[in-house]
Amino acid sequence: MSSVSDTDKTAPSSPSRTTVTKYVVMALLAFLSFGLTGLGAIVVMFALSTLRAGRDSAASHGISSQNSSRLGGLAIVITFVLFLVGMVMLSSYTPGVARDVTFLHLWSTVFVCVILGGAEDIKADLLSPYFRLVVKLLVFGLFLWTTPNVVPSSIGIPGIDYLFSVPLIAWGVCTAFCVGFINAFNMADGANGLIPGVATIAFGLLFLEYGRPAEGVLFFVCLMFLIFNVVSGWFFLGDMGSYGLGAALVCYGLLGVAEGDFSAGFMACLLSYPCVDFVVSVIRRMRKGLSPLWADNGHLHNRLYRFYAQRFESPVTPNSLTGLTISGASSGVCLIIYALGWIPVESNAWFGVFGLQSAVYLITLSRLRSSQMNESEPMSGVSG
Amino acid sequence: MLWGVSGVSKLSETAISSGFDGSVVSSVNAPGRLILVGFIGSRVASELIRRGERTVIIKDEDRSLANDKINDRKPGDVVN
Repeated sequence: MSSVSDTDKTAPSSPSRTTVTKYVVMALLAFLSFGLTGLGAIVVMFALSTLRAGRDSAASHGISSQNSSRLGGLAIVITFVLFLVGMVMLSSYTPGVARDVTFLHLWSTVFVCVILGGAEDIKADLLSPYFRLVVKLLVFGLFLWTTPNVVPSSIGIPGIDYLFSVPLIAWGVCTAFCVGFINAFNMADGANGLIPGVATIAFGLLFLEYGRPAEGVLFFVCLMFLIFNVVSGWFFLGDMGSYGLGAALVCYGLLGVAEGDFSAGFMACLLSYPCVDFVVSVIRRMRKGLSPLWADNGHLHNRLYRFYAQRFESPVTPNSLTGLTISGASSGVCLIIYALGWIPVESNAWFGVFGLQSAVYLITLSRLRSSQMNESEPMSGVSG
Repeated sequence: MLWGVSGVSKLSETAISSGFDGSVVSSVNAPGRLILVGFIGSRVASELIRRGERTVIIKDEDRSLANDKINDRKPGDVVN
């Protein structure tokens, strides 16, 4: 393992006072939330964050101003697999992939997405964007074709429900939606704690709803990553993390909607920020005559970061505040409504909440844009 | 981390041996447990065991699974 230095970590043998403070805060939060088990996860993440492979320079990010590692997804995969292996060896746990063909297909799909993202994290531009897009379309198309019980027959919207009554159309729409959602998840991964925060809340809610060990472990892993990411800023999810978590969430979400456990509106509300930001970004780029996949700095998280950066001198605080504000105001609202039991998870009233979230997004984006008075500048080579 | 998995497994075994009398599920603030899995982890472990009693670790094999959200479980299985 080779160590590297960044703006905060000057040398492994003589960490700065800021770095030591970050170690202590991360360790304390991890210990309070998940005890010695949480500390173990933080140690794994710290070790991976010092690897030379998968590092990004500060210049390649729209927000981050320090050198960081993109191997956060690898840390999540390693921690998740360690837990699963431990559960299989130490308890009577039977993984769903060994017992249920739906879960076998589901996790195979997630695995392919993880590999696709991992290749990009290890070596940037190893796979072209169009190749990745085609592979994702193929793998999700195959997954939904071979596992039709994951395709919802209705989602509570009259016109779309009529189309979904034709299985082939339902399959095509769901395949396109899954691929679009993963890209949206990847695109929104632009601030510390944004996507990790959304994923932590989503897996936490899925765990509360089902009580399945897999979601419990994913909730634990995402929370540990969230702590590490928000406090230090040394670690990003990378494509492996955003593809993997996005694929797991969209698959579990579709399965839950198809089985009638919760409404499509609930999932839309829970994952509102990536979805709305993706649609708005695509429209913005097309209006400018750019490719929909072209990266720019016109996202809400970019503009909110600029707002915070004018008020805080620290390189990490505005970044982390941006992510926590957005994940808290989008998925966090869903968590509060769920916890207080205001709206049943099966209700289509969640579509109304999603509409309100979308309106808040547009109003906030508009106000920030007008107050900052500068156009979003295209910047190649930046995710999102 | 495997120590944490081991700890939760032992808690499950204790819950089974005590006949799910609620002692394991309710002892979320036991010091040893808090050190091992923390405040949130302790509650997650209790939730896993509580759900395990109802839907995962099935004591009564004749009990209907019709109302469970996840089908095709066998006694002793932990769902994915």
